[in-house]
Formats: sequence, C-alpha cells, structure tokens
Amino acid sequence: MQVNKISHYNNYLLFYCVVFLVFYVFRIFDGLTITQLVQPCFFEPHEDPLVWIFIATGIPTSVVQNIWISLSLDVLVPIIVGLVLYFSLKQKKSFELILIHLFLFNFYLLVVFSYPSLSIKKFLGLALLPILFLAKDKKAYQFLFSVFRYYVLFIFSSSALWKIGRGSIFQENQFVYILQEQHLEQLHFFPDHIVSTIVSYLIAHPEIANLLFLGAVVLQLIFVVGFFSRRWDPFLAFSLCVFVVSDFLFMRIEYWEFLVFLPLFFSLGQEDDTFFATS
Amino acid sequence: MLSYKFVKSKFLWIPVLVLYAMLHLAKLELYPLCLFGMYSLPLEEVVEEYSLFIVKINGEELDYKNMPYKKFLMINNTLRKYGAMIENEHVDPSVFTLRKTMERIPGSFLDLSLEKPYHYSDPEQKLLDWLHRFLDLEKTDLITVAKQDYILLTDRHYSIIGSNIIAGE
Repeated sequence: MQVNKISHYNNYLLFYCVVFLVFYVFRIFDGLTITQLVQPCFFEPHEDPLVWIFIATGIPTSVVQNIWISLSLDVLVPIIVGLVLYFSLKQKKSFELILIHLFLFNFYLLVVFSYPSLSIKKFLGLALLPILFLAKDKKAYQFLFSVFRYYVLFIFSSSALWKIGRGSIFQENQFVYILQEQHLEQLHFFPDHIVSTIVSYLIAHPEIANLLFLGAVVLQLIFVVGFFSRRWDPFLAFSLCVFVVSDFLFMRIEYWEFLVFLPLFFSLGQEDDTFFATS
Repeated sequence: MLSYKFVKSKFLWIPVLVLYAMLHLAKLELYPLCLFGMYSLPLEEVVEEYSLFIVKINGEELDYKNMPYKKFLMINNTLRKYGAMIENEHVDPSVFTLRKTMERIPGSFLDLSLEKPYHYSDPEQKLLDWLHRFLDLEKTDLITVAKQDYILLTDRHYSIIGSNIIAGE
C-alpha cells in the first residue's frame, strides 16, 4: 500500500521515529540500556501492581541476567524503529512493524522500570503513540489523534488538580520544601551546575519560589481550555515546551521525551482528505 | 490495522475510563494508566537533617561529575534503596508499600508471592558486585559506601553529624 501524498500521518510518524532514535542514542550515552545496567541488584516496584506482578513472574531477572536476551532487546528496539522510518520515507505502510515496536518497547520499559532507573512517565509518549500509527483509515487516525490530544490535556490538568485537591498549592513555602527534598544530592554533588545555582537562589528567596509554584500550577491548569476549544492549541504547544524546559531548570527532571506530543497541538490541516493511501 | 469502528467502540473506552477512574480513587497506578499527582502532597517542614550516600573507591570519593547525570541517578537510587533496607533490618521498604497497597485491593491473596523478590540474600555483596560492574572496576578495587548524616545550619551551610560505613570494608 502506498500513500499518494505526504500526509499528516506520515509526517508525524517520521517525527516520532526521529525523536525516538535521537533519545535512544542519548540513552546509550547515558549508559542506561538494559545491557549497560549490568544486572541491577535491587528491584524498584514503585506503586504499580502491574510492575509487582511483572517482577514476581521473574521475567525482568531472566532478561537482565541473560546477556543475549538483553543485548537482543537493546539492538532490536532501535532497528525496528529504523525500519519503520525507512518504510515511512518510502511512503509505505508498516503496521506489523509498528505493532511489534509497540509491544517490544513497552516490554523493554517494564523491564527497565522494574529497577531503580528512571520514571516511566517520561516515556509515555514514546511508548503509547505507536497506537496512533496503527490507524487503518483516515477516520480512525483522526479519532485516535483526538484521543491522544485529550490524554495530554488530561496529564497536565490532572497534575494541577492533584495539587489543588491535596492542598499543596495552598501550603506556604511548598516549593522551597520540594526543592530542598528533591535537590539534596544535586546541591551536594553538583554545586556548580546551573540547576544548583537556581535552586539555591529560590531556597533563599521563598517569595519568588512561591510565585513560581503557583505559576507552574496555573500553567498546568491552562490545559483545561483544550477540552473545550482547539483555538488555543498553539499556545498549549508553547506551554508544553515551557513546562519541559522549566522542569529541567528548576527540578532537573528531564521530560524532553514529552516533546513527541507537540504535533498533537497542530491542526491536521488541509491534508485531512489525503491522509491515507489509495492502495 | 485499527479500524474506525473498533477505535470508536464504547466497549473499548468505557472499561478503560472506568478502570482509570477507579485507580484514581484508589490512588494506584497500573501502567500505562499512570497518576500525575507528583509533588501534590503538602510538605510541612523544612529538611533540617538529611543523609547522603558517599561511595569511595580505594579510599577516594567517587566523583559523579565525570559521568552522565542519569547514571548518577541510577547509582543514587540504588544506594537509597539499600540504605532504607539497612534501616529496616534488611527488609526492602517496597514490601511495606506493597502490603499497604494490597490492603486497598479487596480480595487480594497475592501478597506473599508478590513479596518474594524483595527478600534478598546478602544484599551487601549484591550491591558491591553491582557497583563493580556498573562502574567498570577491577575486582581488586575496594569499594565502601558510607551513609553520612548532615544537619542544616543556614540555607546553604551544613555540618556532618555522623558517618557510618554501610557496605564494604
């Protein structure tokens, strides 16, 4: 099956594959592929019953302790995305490969997430967006596109509502306490890093820290408008970027992978009618 | 592959949305149905006493500045985990989280089999072996992990109030 014109679907798939591969290269340089974790010694099940069951099955142990399985996973994951990218450039569909990638990468993440590595949440975009690319026709793609857009709106607005509902937004000096708890090691081991400089300043100036925390909650809450109108989508895309950069500068939490959601805030445009191929 | 009829099906979305809502009520996650309530619990006190884990290799403190930050996080998270285990008489604190959460799931009978992986034999040796592998050290290199306790004097100044070696000679 071939598409007769570069479509939104194809562009987004290309964007996804490139972003995925770029972050995969970073992952290798960070030394955090399964092979590079060199059989971690303790589990970190978080508060997720699925991860507990996954760990109890013994699957993560079998994967990390077998160099051939871990190496195969580390190699297969980017190769499959590379193939999807290749077919996408050739404007050919690759549903089967995308489906394999969807299962393989989510399995990969569950293995890594079973150990004290990084938060799985930052990978949600890379892990779930392949579902969008499994859409068989234009209407299915449009529908799933909207579902994922609402999902991102939900991520941000629910994060704001948690803070309001649990009352942390009303707690004085909340951000100062968060910074102190979050950055103990950062301030000690990396005193000259830009984040340490910013954090030290904010801890010493709680009134500015309070304003920033309020600003962060408002920034997240703004995403609620997206449920009612698409008119503000460019602004929401901008807010997403601001959030990701601020999260790094103030918290040293790297949610760069969330940028893969950005195209969801840009209109499907005039190509609506030529998404999918004539076979 | 996914048709419009399938993705628009009520039978697909209603169970997912109901499950997600129930997980929110129970404050539980079930990947990929994650909760996004990070930093939403009110903190009421400034941290005045805290602990850091210091790794020494052949007597010299490990300098994290020369390694990727995420690698540092992996080491630090593992050390925190081990430190918490030491404080709980070698029981992984994940067990307590697991038990507490299982209480919220009615009819749960899996607790014991789910707990099993967190009862480690000789966690100290496991930690030291892993550090050797992860930091790519020779077998002859000596590693010690110390838990250092600090007290905050002013905003940016602190003083060491104790140091215990928790792994290694």
